[in-house]
Amino acid sequence: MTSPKAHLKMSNKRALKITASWLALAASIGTAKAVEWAGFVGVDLRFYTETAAFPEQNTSFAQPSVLLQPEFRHEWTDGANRFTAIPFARYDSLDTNRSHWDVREFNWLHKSDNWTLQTGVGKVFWGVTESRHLVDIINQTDFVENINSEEKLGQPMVNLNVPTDYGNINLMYLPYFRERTFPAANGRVRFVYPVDADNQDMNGISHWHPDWAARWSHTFGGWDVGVAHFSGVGREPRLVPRFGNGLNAAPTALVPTYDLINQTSLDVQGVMDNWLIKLEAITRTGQGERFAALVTGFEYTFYSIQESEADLGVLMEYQYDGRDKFAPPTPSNNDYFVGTRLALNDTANSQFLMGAMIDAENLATAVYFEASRRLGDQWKVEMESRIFENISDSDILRGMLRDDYIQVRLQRFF
Amino acid sequence: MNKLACYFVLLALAVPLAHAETAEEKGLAIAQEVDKRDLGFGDSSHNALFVLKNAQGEESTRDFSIKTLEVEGDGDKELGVFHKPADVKGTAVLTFSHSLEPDDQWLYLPELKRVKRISSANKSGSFVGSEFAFEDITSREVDKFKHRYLRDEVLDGNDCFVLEDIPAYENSGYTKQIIWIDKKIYQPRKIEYYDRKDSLLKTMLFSDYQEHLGRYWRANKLDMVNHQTRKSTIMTRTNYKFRTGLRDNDFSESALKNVQ
Repeated sequence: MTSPKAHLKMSNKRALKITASWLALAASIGTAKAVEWAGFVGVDLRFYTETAAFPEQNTSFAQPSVLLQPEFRHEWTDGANRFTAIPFARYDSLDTNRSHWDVREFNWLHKSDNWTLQTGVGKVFWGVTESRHLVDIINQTDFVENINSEEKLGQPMVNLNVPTDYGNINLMYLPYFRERTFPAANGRVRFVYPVDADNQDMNGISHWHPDWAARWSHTFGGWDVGVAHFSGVGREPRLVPRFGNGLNAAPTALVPTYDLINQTSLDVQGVMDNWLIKLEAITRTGQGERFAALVTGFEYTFYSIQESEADLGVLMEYQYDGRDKFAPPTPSNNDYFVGTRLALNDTANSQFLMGAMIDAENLATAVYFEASRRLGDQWKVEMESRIFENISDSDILRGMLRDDYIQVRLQRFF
Repeated sequence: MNKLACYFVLLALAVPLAHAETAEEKGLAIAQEVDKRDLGFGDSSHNALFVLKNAQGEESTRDFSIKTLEVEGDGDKELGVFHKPADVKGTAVLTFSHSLEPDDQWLYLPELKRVKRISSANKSGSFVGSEFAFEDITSREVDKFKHRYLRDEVLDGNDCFVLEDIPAYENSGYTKQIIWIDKKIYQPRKIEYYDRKDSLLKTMLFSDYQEHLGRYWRANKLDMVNHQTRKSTIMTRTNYKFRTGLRDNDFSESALKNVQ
């Protein structure tokens, strides 16, 4: 047996060798023009307006964190092949689970005349609506990043895309399942009972379950239509209470429980003058009874308001979800979304977005505000705020009632 | 009336039709010749650098690459990709332009990997904060304007036709454009844009023309000045390539998603 020291030495030597070969590779491709480094580094400063609701939660009002996302791309054979690597990392001062890293992308894209094939870790987005991303199902949500379901974990995939005269055909083989991230017990913006993300229940399903998805999409004049099917491990877990202190006491945690599902979806976006019309609809089996859900609405934009360069958009969407209590919880069962978007179209690209999601039954309200502008050529400042009002005891968002926050993000792009 | 009188009446009517071209007919003929001389380029690609300058002289830059595909019997297809500023790097716009029907336009947001439709009603809005409006940079199809020939004029030593072009499409920010077309190369040398109150809003100058494939002329420098705000934008076009073998698939949804 080699001593740890010898082992270390050996691995050092090996590491040196690897580094040397990487350097050689970097030097060789560095001479080609098609190598590109990009990405950003950022600082988030989040302030909570109220004290924490639960004793395990960190008591600090301020939650600073730093994030880093380098992006490496290399193209060869005149752009027919491309390698992309995008790691991501965040260090968070309050929430142990929010300090995390991930490989957002690590893939090889090959473009042929009549098809493209992407192999490796990638990201695919489906959908058209603003208030909920219902049909988007390929990548797992990185929920600790943001509750808006727009931050995603990298998904291993083989992704074949074939554009034809009869529409675009997209076939995906997804060999590995990734679990959703959740805030730790000491974090904010979490559920009433903390989610035990380390002890999930896979229901006997292997992480290597072969999932697949197919999508057909086509443009008919001013309308884009997509129909898709997904079969595999549902990305949305049920949150099953664990009664660590006996069945008569309150639950001690929520256990993310995953199921095999089949989901068929339709997404439509249409444009008519100043109107954008949007629809997303799904039907799913495998979690309770078969159910259907939809989000539909519009965005109307007033261009060049008051003879200025600014555009003002008005958004309205309705959310329906027919799932039963054996399916993962959702706040979007019967809700309205109203919002407004202001784009100044100035050189700093200043933008504002404000929206409110209102439950038609109990008037639970979640308000969202976002503003951003560029500072010079490399910097960007962003403000984000969430306010939770009127959240009843039975609502899944109840745990966030005292977690209204304002966040400022400063980003440096390179 | 006898047959002879009839004949003279007909002759009197026919002569002006045959010989005196109206200003509208002449304008249309010139616009058609501009279009005809550019037919058959197939496809092209180039880089475009925008330098935006405000009234105080502060500058900021935008860097794009643009691919164009000629479509027979319809407007061109175009895919533009941002390289700078860094925060919008990889953002792309795909446009299928049409003569009178509204253009089809999609925006790709790389952070979310999302494709959004853009309303083509936004003709007069600023393109990326520059002095170019969306309608100034989309392909200039013959039917998009009602053309009228005004006069001949020598502009900076170049013999030009001067035309008045009135937008025939909806949502234009202009009542009219006055355009100077070089008689030798049948390309614009200058365009004046008149706002909805019919006062002079902007002037664009085209310079550094270069000939490609022995017949297609492209200006390497476009200089837009807004007279009302005193802001300006200079667009420099470089690295023009023609007939690189681009196809419909290079202007598809998947092409848009794979720009970077």
